[in-house]
Amino acid sequence: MDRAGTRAEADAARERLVLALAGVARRDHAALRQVYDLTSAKLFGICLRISRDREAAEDILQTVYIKIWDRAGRFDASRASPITWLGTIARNTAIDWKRASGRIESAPEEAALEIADDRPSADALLEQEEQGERISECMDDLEQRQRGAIRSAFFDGFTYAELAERAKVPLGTMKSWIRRGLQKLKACLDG
Amino acid sequence: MAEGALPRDEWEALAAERALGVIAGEDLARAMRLELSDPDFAAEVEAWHRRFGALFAEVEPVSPPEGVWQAIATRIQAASGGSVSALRAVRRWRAGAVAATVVAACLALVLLFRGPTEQVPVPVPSPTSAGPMAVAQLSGPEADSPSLAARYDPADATLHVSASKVSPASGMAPELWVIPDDGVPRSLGLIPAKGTSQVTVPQGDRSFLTDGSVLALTYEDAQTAPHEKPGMAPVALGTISVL
Repeated sequence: MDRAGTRAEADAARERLVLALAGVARRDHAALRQVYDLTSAKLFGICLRISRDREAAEDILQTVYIKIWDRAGRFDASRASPITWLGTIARNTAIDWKRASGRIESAPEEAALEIADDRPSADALLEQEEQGERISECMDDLEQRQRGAIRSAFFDGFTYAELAERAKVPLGTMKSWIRRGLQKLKACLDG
Repeated sequence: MAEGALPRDEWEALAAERALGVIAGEDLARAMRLELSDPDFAAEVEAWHRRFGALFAEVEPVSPPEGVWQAIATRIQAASGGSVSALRAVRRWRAGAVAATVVAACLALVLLFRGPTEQVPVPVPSPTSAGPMAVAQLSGPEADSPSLAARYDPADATLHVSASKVSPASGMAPELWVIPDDGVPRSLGLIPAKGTSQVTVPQGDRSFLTDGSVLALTYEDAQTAPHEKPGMAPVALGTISVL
């Protein structure tokens, strides 16, 4: 498929999702089903990635769609992309679960590095956004340890303390990696 | 208690850290307070969510099992079609004008059913304060309902709250409301689920913290607080008495 075709299809997919969310805001059950059909695999992927527990991820996913049901009225398509908005709800809900369940994984210590190296593989239609290309480029510009820490925080939902422990560096060091990384990232994205 | 202004770079870093989700404890509490009190801060957190949003493209989609949709559909059906009066209560409580009735009814329940439940000690009034101190004990109908002790010091417009058994669902946070004579709940913002905290009462709401007003606690969406109206019936209630 050529690039223009893909872009048009991505726009159409986003448009469908925005319309479905508007339906959810009007308390239309069928619209919620539509949102679910369009997004549940992506959001389940996010829940699984953060919780690393299949059964918990199913419960988290339920909570996510209940929240979507309750909050759809607050979604503003002129301010946020629908998949970013939905993904943020899924990520935050999964992180809340993780913190509440008090689970700190005893993953192998090289996990942080292993995560730093994993590269984009999924290329779903909905996320083909201009900033998507930008953030990948900007992340590539970061030092490897900054990038690794930010990716691990984002994709695995670790706190500073957990990240520091996993990378076996002092908390202050981890903080400064991430803070500097975020500063650079912002300058790159907004620049 | 007034929050000292953060230097600009700290303020920016905190917004990014809040969106990334790496902070905990006092830093997280501070970020949450800023999200409520500083619209620019909330906007900066939002902007970071947008910046990060494109990273979701990297998450591999995984189809959830069929049962998940069933469970969601059932929960939503139960909430919207359920005969449970709680939902009606929520609607009326949302209606504001009739909320006083509901609050009165809940309060009656609380008074009826409040057994020998554990009482949270009221924070000790500081001897230096000027003006009359107001206190309230909040509790709910169940043995495991939240209980709170609140003390309002008009000298610094600070509400000191001790909470116990407050257990909001994931993504939710306890939100405190004051309901004066007119029966309309006004949000006093989120409070931590555990321990003691201080809430600076906004100028416009201070006059409501008087004898006979009701303090109520609900669990609300943590991200969008403070809310104009409560989204659920209160889990704990108590009337204010002036000492």
